[in-house]
Amino acid sequence: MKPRAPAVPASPREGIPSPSHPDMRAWLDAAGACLSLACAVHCLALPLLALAFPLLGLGFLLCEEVEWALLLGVAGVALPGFCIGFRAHRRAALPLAAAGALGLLLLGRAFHGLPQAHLWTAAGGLGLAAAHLANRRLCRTCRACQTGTMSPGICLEARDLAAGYFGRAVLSGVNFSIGAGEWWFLLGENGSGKTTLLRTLLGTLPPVRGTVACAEPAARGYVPQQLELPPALRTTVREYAGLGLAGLRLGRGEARARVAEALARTGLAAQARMEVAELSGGQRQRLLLARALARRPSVLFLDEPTSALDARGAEDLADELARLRGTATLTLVCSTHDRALARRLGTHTVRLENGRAVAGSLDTASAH
Amino acid sequence: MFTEFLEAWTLFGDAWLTGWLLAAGLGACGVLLAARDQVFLGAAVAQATALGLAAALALGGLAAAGASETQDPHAHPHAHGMSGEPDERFALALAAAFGVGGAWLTTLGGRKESREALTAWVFLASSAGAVLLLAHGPHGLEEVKRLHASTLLAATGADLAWSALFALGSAALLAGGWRKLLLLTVDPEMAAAAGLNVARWNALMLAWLGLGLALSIRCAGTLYAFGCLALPALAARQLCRELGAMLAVAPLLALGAAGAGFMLAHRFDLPPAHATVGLLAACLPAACLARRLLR
Repeated sequence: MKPRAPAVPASPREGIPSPSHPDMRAWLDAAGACLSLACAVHCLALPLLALAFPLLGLGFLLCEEVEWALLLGVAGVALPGFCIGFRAHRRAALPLAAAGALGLLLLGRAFHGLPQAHLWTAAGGLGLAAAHLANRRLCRTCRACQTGTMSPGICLEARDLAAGYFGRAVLSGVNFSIGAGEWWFLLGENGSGKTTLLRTLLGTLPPVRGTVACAEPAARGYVPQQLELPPALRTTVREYAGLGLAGLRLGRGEARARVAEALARTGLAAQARMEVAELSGGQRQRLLLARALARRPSVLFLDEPTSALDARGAEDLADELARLRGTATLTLVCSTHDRALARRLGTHTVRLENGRAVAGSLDTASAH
Repeated sequence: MFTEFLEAWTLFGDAWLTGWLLAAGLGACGVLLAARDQVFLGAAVAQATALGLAAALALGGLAAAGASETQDPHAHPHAHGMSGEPDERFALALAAAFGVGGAWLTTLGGRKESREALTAWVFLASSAGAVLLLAHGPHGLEEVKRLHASTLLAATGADLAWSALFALGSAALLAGGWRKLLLLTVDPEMAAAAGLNVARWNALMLAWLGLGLALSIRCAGTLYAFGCLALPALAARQLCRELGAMLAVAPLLALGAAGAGFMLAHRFDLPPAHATVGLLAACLPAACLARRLLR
């Protein structure tokens, strides 16, 4: 390591620890750098981390003093990190970043007797951490507003919702509340926005406008259109169903029991040790259902579950869902163009036409 | 052969241990790439990391190491290890940055270009860039050759410590989050629905891969790093019926091949990295054959 710059002469105010003390300088550096990197990791913008390494390295190469190198690295991470930290409140980000930079300059001017690099590193790190905390608090407030007014017995609610991609709405003006135990079907032609609305309700696609509130965001199950695996990848039915437990803190025994139960409920217990590649199309669809059920969800989302099946397979899956309805208290949201499925199993429908969503009863759906 | 191998332990023990630890760590990480059918991503990230090292050399970050090398032609250019030399840290930092950056670039595919195309672009641009950067340097092309085909024998105690950290970190990451990582691999949409932050986990995985490859290429060269990343996972995919089993079998295969490779290399005076990769390459057809026979 290159020699450090000679320590700045001790403060005239003896006995009072000041940042000119070598230990204090090191602590300030470390605290600032750790806070900045922690914030960068928190919002985990990968380019930020990639930026930090060469900046630190370049700092070592150019500055020949550890503290200035560290300052360069931290500043390189901190400033974009600050803006990203406030991504939920973009209008505030730039003025705040400018105010922060001005604050650092004024701080340096006010304490011009102190080593500036250490001061800026520590203050920059603290500022960045404060920005992230403030941002989290603001976001929490927003979420509280969204979920705070949900009526009792309602488990999913869309209010003035516009769903779409890259800021462009495919559907707008969506308003409905789904009560516990209700089975809702989103009906519409191809391209009407069924999957878009389902993904927005599920929370994997951010709404363009409006809000979606879910009573228990952790207890959601999802069944995609079809099971897609790379052809060379090998996995068994049992293991694949167990992937639905990701993110839940369960013991090994409990996890096995849940997988076995889900496979039994979907009629796949006998195929548990088979490879997924050996299953038929209908069995694969049931496996997706088993994977979702292993989580024991309170709300189950199905995305066009019968679209990849023939008539017999679709009938089998409908039987499976009907059995499920008889044995579990479950709320279901299903996008489909299969009106027969909706008529057989649904309690409510949402009809999607011309960019609008109209909630209605089954009679309305039948009339169309 | 085994006795001779043990007798040479005092000389090459650090290098062999470093090689084993890197093989185990990379073998485990490779399973995630094999599960995604993105094995070539490893090669692209490895090349991007090599470009980072080449950039460090071109910027003069390793000038001191180069100067010492002129005095001792047998010395490894990175013989200073992680002893705290800013030059070494600069090189490692830049290599890790390029590795992470290269991995990130490949994730941008989707709307305008496929991931595979971007992976190929990263691979080709990095391969060409590394040679172009060092073409007119005093030891430039020699350095590029070293990056691609190191002998592993110059690994230091500090390299060993970093490799142990990488192997332990990989084990902890996979033991703690294997189910999450596999779900992210096979169905990111379901992972997002289950409340996982897909972007964050992907970023963590790619960052870890970039860091691991940077460390491995610096110690052992591109061939060894990519060989240990891809081949054990591909062989394990043939042997195992479950992804979870692959996570255990791939590192074991890598360890076994590295052990046998180092012994063979020592006995027949061969480069250890090449001997290991040769054995790992032989494992893949053997695993295919075993799968066919056991069916």
